[in-house]
Amino acid sequence: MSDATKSQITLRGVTRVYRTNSHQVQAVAGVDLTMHQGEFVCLAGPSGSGKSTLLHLIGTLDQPSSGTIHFGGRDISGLSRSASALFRRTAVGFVFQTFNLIPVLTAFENVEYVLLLQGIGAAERNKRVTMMLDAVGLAELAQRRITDLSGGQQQRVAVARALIGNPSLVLADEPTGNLDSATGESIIALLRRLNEERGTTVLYSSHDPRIIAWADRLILLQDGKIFEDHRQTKVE
Amino acid sequence: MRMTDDILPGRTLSPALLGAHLQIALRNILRHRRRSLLTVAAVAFSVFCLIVFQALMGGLHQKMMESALSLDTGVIQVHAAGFARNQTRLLPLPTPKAITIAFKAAGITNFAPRLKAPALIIAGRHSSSVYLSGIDPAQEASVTLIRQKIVRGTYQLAPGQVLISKGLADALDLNINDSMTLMVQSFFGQTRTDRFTVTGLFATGLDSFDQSRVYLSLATAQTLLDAEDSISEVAAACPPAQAAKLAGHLQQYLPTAAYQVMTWQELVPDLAQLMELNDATFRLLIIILFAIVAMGIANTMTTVIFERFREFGTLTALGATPGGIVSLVMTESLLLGLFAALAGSLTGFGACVYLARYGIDLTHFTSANQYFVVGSVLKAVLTPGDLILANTITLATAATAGLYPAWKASRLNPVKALSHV
Ligand SMILES: Nc1ncnc2c1ncn2[C@@H]1O[C@H](COP(=O)(O)OP(=O)(O)OP(=O)(O)O)[C@@H](O)[C@H]1O
Ligand SMILES: [Mg+2]
Repeated sequence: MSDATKSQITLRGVTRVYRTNSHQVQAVAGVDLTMHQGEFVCLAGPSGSGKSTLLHLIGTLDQPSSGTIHFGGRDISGLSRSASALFRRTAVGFVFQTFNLIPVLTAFENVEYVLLLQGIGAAERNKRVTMMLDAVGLAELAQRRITDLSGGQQQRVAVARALIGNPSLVLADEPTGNLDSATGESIIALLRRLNEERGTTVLYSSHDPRIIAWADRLILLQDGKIFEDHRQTKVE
Repeated sequence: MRMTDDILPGRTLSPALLGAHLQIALRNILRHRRRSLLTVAAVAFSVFCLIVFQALMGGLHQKMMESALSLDTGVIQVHAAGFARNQTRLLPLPTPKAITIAFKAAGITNFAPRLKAPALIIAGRHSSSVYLSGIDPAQEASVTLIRQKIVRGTYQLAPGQVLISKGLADALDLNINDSMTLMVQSFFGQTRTDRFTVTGLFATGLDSFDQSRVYLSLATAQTLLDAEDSISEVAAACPPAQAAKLAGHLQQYLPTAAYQVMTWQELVPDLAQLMELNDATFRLLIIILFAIVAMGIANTMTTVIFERFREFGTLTALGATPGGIVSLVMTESLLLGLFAALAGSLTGFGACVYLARYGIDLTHFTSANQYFVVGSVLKAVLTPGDLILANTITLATAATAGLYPAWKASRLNPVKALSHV
């Protein structure tokens, strides 16, 4: 099997240029990248190096100015609004720095929403959400309003929401950025465990060396380009 | 390969998803209690006004119609062919018996034959120009309300007796049992005079009518005018809405070569026009009122969208389609409209029940108005159609007002929306 068929995500010559009144910003300046199913990858680099932009491009929330992005052999760099929504619905889970849960819904309902989008029946939704909340250690808090949860608990709900639809990829932009270091580490450990248990690819960004250390592949960005891309092993 | 199977959309907006959107919308409305309450109250007030105004307008039209038609005109009139409105020349109807048969055949039971002619009333040194109306008292009472308007004496018309108004009696210095002289031009063109006794005084409240009307029995009028067995018009009472239908029936029995059948719309065209004008003015008011309602809801929803940019960005990231976002925003807008429609309908209905019972006393404004002869208390008349219309307009307005904010929210750039603070 060739590398191209085995790969899950392939970026070829991807750029993203922001045009402001006077000048242009190359947020992503020609990225070639291949990722495989089940990898646990960290994007690191200085502020403004293009980490968020790259994650948005892979997650089809944004579209490249040039270059192509293939996901499972399919070009996803030019999808329409609706087509990209349907793609994300089943293929990608997101975890955000600011949690971004729906404040008027309970933990259970926040996680369930993805399954509603997928059109899954009530009985199976119940079963799967209950199991998922159990897996992230929130079985007891399922019926709590989001506003009554701590930051760490909220991010656990977000992780459950990202994984409930069985996506093959989870994108997490600084998932521990708003958490204290111990809580942050528990969240990255949770992501790592789910990655190992379910084989879900995880691509996350971080500034925190202790969080970066969890990855088994580290991609360093600088000025929108890949500066370093290597495998690493966690030193306990 | 597996990919394409995975992204098959299935049903994008399942009932369960719409149910979740209803829940999200409802909780958001409750969460921003004060804002929601203000919006709902403003819209509900408009609904309230719409319902109450509609019902008062219905009551006004009913009263105007009753008054204008029950004074003298009736709902349908039959004359001899060639009759013109306000004509004074005596034009007798051919074969009065045939008309009675025609009315019965058409299913109209309340009708009154009349013989009308101009006359001069002379009492002592006073005289006044009047209009004689020879009537059958019992039949006349089934069409007009003149019997109810007797204020002194009786509503009986023996030969040689007349009814005049209180106003005319005062002007001519007459009282019950006083006598006076009537001068007419007979059917054959001769001047005739005779003496009569006043047996009753009436007062309709409409001076122009009161000052010029003298009632006497049909037989007395026929003798005075030398017009044995003649009548000049038949007026009938029936629900105004059925006028056209019943007039059609009548026409089947009364050949147009000899008879002219007229409905109230033709007899008092100014009344029909006045009511149409009222309706048109009211429609304009509705449009203005609900343009304001639309702006109110649109303003609230725009604020809602702005506050929840990040939420819509998140839902988009989770895979909500533009249609899904539209449904969420529209649900919230429609819920606001629904609450307002409910509140406005309940209070409006309550007000209408009160106003249907007690009404608004307009005595000070209507003393000389032909449209308030039956009474000057304006009562609300609310029909189910009015309620349905008010609620439909409200929900349609809420939907329309939600459309633009919903479209805005569905077109948000998810990256920008997610970084919105
Ligand atoms: N909407 C935008 N308009 C103009 N320039 C933008 C926009 N978004 C990002 N940029 C620019 O693109 C570059 C990359 O931004 P990006 O947010 O991807 O960096 P980052 O690595 O995520 O930074 P941080 O670590 O601070 O989150 C920056 O120079 C930024 O100023
Ligand atoms: Mg960033």
